[in-house]
Amino acid sequence: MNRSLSLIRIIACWEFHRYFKLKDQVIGLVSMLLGGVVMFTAARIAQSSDAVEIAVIGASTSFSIPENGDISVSKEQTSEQEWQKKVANKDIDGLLVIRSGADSNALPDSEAAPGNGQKNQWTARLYVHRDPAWLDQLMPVIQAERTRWEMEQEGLSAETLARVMAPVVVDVVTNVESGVSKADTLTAYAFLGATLMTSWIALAWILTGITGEKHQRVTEQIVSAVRPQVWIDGKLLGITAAAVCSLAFLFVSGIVALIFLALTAEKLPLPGSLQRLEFLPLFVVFYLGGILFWNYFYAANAAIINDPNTSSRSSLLFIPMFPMFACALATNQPDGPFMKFLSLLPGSSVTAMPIRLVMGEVSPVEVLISILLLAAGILLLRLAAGRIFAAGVLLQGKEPSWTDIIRSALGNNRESPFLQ
Amino acid sequence: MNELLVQVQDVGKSFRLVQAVDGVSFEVRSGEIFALLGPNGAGKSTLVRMMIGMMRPDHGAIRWHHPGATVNGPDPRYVGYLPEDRGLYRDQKVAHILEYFGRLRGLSGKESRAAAEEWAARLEVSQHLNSKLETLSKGNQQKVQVAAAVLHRPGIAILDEPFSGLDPLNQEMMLNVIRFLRDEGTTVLLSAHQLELVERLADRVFLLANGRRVLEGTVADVKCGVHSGYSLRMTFSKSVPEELLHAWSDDDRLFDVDRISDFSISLTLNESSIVPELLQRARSAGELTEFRGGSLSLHEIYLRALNPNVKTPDTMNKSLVRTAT
Repeated sequence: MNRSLSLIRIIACWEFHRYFKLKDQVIGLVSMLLGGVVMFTAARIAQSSDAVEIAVIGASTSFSIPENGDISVSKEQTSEQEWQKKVANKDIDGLLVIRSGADSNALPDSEAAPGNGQKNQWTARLYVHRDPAWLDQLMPVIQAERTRWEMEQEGLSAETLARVMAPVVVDVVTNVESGVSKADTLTAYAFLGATLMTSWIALAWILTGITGEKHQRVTEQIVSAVRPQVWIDGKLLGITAAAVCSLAFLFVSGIVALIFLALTAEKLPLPGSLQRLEFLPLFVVFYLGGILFWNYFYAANAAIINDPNTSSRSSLLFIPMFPMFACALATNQPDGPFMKFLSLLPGSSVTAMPIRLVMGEVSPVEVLISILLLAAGILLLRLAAGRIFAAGVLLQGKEPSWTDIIRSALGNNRESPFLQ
Repeated sequence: MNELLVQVQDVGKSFRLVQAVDGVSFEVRSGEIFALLGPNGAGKSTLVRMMIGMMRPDHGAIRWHHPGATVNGPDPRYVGYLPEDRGLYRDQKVAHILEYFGRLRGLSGKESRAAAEEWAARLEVSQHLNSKLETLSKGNQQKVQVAAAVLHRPGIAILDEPFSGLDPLNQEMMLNVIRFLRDEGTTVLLSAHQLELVERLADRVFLLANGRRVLEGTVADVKCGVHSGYSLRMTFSKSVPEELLHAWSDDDRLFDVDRISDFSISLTLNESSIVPELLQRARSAGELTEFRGGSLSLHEIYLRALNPNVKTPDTMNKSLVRTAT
């Protein structure tokens, strides 16, 4: 037993170092951060080049353009002719001329812009030196200016007018006790994403690792030294650890990016899901248990594939994705019967139960049953996968038949090596 | 030395309709070099896999007699195994590969590193220890493969086709490795086709065909056995006398008489005692310019044992000459 554990540790370390290269991870992290910095800087530069300066003539005193947009109004005082020259010289991007009442007659009919109201009422004209892509930003302000003028003509007092024109403020209140907050949803999807990503990383490594070892003829020499069950246990522990560490590196990258944003941006979008840390231990149990469960499935599958590029059995490797995607689709009813079923079933509980934990109401008994079923599922799948792995791992150039696979899984394949 | 190490008793194994091994029995004793011989598909690899516990025989028993052995097979730490289908992690450094295999065979990390360096020096690949395996030549990769199989100083080294794919220079290297292992007290069980190499190495041989025993014994015993004999070649100054050909063809003491060319004749006989008589008869029949004699090689015995009608290179030449004449 001690010898087996020692071998599992040796194999796990070997597999971990085969796939997790610290240097590569650091290079990846630095590249990602550099890319982020370049994109952030480029966005900032693009933002500054998008700044538009216009002059406004004839607007009321309450005319104002929101400061957080790309458009600013020049404070300079000069004549309309001078402004038009500046537009022509491209010193400014545009000149907005608003005329109302008698002043509106200054614009001849033929020149009146369509939709500006009737003659002698209210007109607006925009002089530009090129197509104004920023007009959409300006339109709500012009519309508000005209509305204000029309209401003023109807005799509304200045106070009433100010109240009507004041921007509406909606106070959003989230009831965390009885509903699903945005933070909950974010947490659930973040967990789902992390599980899927780890599973895919591990899948790629297991598939290329096992089929590669068969092609490189490494298997026979190793299984002469260790039993296949010990080999698959060590291999999967090592690969799972490497996949989790890779994901952890991505997580660190995210944290570094958030810190960078906090230092450079005005507002930091802190994830509200951080408030759900009380579920962290359960998340870890389901995350690691689920990844291990599916990794045994991947390993058994990889052992019966000769060439992943041509084998039709490669499609079986997508089976684990179905329960995971089913969970994603059922998040709108976290406590519905389908989601309850998924949260108990080993394989889908890896994602369904954490989603229910943050988005629904789960009794401790349900959590316990789910964990016990997952543990039993891992043990059974480990045994079956070990037998299938033993039957398939020495086959080079051919794939075992389905009859052989089923017999092996049931421990009833007389021709399988290693059955003692 | 020469204690019983492994007993194979009436072992059989079939795969669906194919009887791979059928009632084979033999013993391997400690300190010897034991060679399993046989054509492709004879069942050698299946037998080896059953011996090291990778496969279960359908019937019969394989008993290992060393500390740590169980009914399922030998202690993996006691065995060094070089499979016929072999390879290593091509994208890993040689030192890491050797250390890994040493550790799988029970060495500590420190012992494993020391053994890796020692074997790399012995096989002259020390300069490649920090290189990835895929950057090495095929010959050097084979050396690393051999080192990975035996660096833990096993009690028995099981080498399945150790000479396959090796050029003559590396075949000599492999011969030296096997001799070194034997000198260090390691028992060697090997299977091979290169019988001239086996003849130089093996203490005992076991010939297998269609999963069954054909012959076994020491190399000397086999050479004196039912399939063995002496070979004589005579060359005359003129054509081979016809009366000699007729007389010797009817002689029961000779089991093969072949005319190699107009001037040469080849004889295969069971015992050497009649050589002087044959020589005398030849001299009286014509002028003998050349005479060569010796025992049959293991290669010739192997071919005769597997198929008495098989044409050895010599007999093939004779047939050609016969056809031409």
